[in-house]
Amino acid sequence: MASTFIIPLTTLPVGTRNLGPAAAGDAERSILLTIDRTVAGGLNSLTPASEVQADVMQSGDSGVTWRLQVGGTMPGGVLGNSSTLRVDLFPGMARLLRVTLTVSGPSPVAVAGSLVTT
Amino acid sequence: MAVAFDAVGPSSAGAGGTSISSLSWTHTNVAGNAALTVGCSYDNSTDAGVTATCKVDSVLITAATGNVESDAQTAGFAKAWTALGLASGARTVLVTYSSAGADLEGGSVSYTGAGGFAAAATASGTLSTSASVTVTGTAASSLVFGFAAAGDSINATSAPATSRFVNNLVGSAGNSTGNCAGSTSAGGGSVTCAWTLASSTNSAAIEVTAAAAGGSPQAQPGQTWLRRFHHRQVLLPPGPPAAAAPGAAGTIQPAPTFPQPRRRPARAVWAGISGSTGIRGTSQPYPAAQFPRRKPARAVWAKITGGISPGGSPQEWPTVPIPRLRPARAVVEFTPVTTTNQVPAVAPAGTIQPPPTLTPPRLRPARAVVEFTPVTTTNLVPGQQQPPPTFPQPRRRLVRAVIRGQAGTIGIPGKPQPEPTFPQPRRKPARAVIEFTPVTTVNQAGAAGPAGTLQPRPTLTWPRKRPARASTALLLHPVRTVNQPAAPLVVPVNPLPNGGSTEGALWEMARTGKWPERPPGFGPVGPVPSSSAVPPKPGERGWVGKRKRRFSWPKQDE
Repeated sequence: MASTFIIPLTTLPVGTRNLGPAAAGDAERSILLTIDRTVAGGLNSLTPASEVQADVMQSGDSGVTWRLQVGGTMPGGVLGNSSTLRVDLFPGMARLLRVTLTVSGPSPVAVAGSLVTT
Repeated sequence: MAVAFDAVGPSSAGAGGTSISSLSWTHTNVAGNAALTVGCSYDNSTDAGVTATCKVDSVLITAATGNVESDAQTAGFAKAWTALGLASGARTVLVTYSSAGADLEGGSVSYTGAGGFAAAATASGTLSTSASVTVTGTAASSLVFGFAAAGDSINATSAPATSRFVNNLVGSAGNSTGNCAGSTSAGGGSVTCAWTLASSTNSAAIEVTAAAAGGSPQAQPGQTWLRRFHHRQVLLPPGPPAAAAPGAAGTIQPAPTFPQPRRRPARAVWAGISGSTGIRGTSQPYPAAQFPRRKPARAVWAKITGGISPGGSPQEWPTVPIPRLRPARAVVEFTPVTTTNQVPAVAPAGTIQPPPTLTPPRLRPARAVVEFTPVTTTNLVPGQQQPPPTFPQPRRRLVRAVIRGQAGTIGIPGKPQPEPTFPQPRRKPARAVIEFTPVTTVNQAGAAGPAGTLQPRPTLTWPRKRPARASTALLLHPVRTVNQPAAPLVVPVNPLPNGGSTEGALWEMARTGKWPERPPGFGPVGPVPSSSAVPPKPGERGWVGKRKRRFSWPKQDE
């Protein structure tokens, strides 16, 4: 059963912010992170000097330690409607997911999107 | 020791993303001292000039291939990297491109027992339902890693290869790549890695041979690819040479994070060297006394006999001085120059000019002078005077807005200015004040008085012409008054009945029940006793009426 965790429209300042954590079902195997680039102040409205490094982290010990599952650099500029990252979850039970967004560049970046587990 | 598969990262599905410029995942190798191969595909409408690097735990690793273009076009390419000596545990693999791609896909495979990598073989195919690449001359103890990228989904890995990961991120929506797969095949002679594709599409394939310790097979273009694609196979320039020697056990020591100090400089020793270093002058003589060495200059073998030194005889000492190849330090060479003072010259003839007896004029004025050129101004031609405005002219600027503790009456937002806490000086005096300095006058001494005689004082009292001031006081003259003779006292006749007395009137009222018709001013005040009442006696007092008013009857003689 798929679960969707909404990333509300948020303007992120330069720096790192963690979103979540969210619980992943024991039967879910993969994750798909989608960042909308078309929102006002989003990546498509910025220059390549602005970047958002998105990392999907997974924890199997209730958030004590986190392991990178997939990460990607989403640069500014018109590059389609969305940036996505897809990877399988690491097997386990009672897993937690967290999205770490790191904004770099001259200005804040507005992001919105979702994290879907299937 | 044969090379064996260790782990795949991040999983059998690989990793992928769209509209990104880098892709990272975690590779967890089980064994220590593992070897790693990384494959990643870049898909974009154009990839001209795009470069790619790969890091494992922030350390750059070796590129096994260049950009292997799919069908030799510029709409997507595959690239592979290799690394040795990974410790067991989770490792972060980061593939970074110089420009963002429409999509990136990748995966990694680790091995045990690998001592190095052979040069990679690559292939580029177009519009085919399969992709393959062949490497020849592989050792039986090696393992071959195959990586393919295609513009459509990769369905399966052809036997005998073993699929390690498949990532069909974009399926048929890829440009020239967009989907990738990795596999391993056992070594031994010619090895072909092949995959079947969902549709006829472009593809690129890479084959990297993980050689066992001590082996270093050279990959050669295979014939299988030629038969299937009917294109001339191009062997790309080999990547950096693979390490031939077996890697040391353990993990790679990371680079130091702080500057390392020099161990110790050897110190320079000057000892009896003359004329060979280019320094002019005499050299320092040998010391007369023997100075003990503070520390031995080198390791000294003592009391060890046999078995240590290599065989042969030691080199003889040189019989001639060996010049230094280079001076020990920077030397400035120069030629001494002797200078001679000039002979004193003869004094000039003539006399010394005397000092001037007059004060010479200043060459320049002592103070600043503004020099200007006279300017003749000419009045303008008389014209018509500008008539006065026919409407009120607004003030250009307000003199100054003054708020004196009145809130909300001027419309200026904000908090009104508080009353001053100290007296404010008047800007202008309230009234004109003439300030003067008192002057003391002094009569002139010794001056002669005016001529003539003083007028005598008047002997008569002169009436005042006018009163000094208005007065309301009157002059009262005593007046004698005479009273008029006393007039006879008129006593009005009492018209009351019954003899005209009050008593009679009361009796008349008691009898008739009403006050007789008489002039006012007589009789008692208050209600009259009823007719049934007992007639009071003269001088008797009592109460009458419902309200019990007090009354008093006059006596008989009153």
